[in-house]
Amino acid sequence: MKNATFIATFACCLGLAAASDISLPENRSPLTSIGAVEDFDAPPDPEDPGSGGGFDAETYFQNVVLAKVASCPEGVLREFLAWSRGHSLSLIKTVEEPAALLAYAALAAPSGVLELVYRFNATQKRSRVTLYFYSGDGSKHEPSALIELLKRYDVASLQDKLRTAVACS
Amino acid sequence: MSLVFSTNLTADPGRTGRWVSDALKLPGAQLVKVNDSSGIPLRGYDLSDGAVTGSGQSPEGCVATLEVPANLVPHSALEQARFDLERDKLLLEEANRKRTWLWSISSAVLTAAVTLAVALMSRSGPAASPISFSGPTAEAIEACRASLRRLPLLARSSGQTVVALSEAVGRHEAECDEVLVKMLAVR
Repeated sequence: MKNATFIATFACCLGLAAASDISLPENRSPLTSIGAVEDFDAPPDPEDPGSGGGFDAETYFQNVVLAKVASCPEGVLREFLAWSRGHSLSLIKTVEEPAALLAYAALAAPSGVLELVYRFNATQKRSRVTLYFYSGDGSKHEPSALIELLKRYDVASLQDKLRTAVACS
Repeated sequence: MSLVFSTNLTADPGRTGRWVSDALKLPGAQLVKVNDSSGIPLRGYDLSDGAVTGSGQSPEGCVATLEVPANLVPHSALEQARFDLERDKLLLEEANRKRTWLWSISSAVLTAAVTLAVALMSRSGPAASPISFSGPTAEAIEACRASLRRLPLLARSSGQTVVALSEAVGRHEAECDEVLVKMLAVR
């Protein structure tokens, strides 16, 4: 009985691991995500889309270690705004708070909404900025399904700017 | 100190040249002398293996004079001592069995008590309380709020259809309903 349970659990884990290599779960499929912590051995961030995924996911999403993590939503918003203007995108809504930011930009092709989420956690001394793409039906799409979008809007350059903005530098 | 007494001898029916008497079997008995029926001492006789042996005339009807230790213990006393020893051994074994049995019972009771205590402690924890509810995580609340703010933007997005918007509303409901239920539970 124990052996059967162990085998079933092992097979289930193998299946999950294989699935994580193929695609990320829907709630962990942003276009990019950058986390900042002060300690290299900081506890895992539950919002880190790379944790628990495959090796590709862990290397795709970035985590940086800073001497001091601070809250700077205005710098993140500034970089997102500059990137949006550079690609003729208009911010249709922004919600800025002392330690959080929500910003939305409309996309025509593909049709949908870009959502930028920034949160600073003073207790855990960590911050994270994440960019999602939602299609009209409200579903998220993983980066591998949006290669054309990533290239057309040069999301990599936004990622570099957001990395600098998260560091409040 | 010793005890000296006389006993009549009779011929051993199994072997010739041997004369026996119950008194000759006493532990530590030594033959002092052998006299005929008229009291005249006879020579050439010894005490061996609980019998008088000798090659002289037949001592049938003669009397042997024996000497035994004064502190001679009766055979019944030896039997009693042996019985007492056996009884003490049995009592000791019985006591050991009882002690082992009591230890086994005590160990089982102690194990049961510890098991019950651990079970009661785990049941008395706040996680097991039937009236305690765990609220939604901060991440879930933030995600619900973002979903709520995103929904009108999706409704206005270019190329939006009724079917797609209906799916978006369904996703929002799925994302927020559980969060709201949990928040109501901890109210």
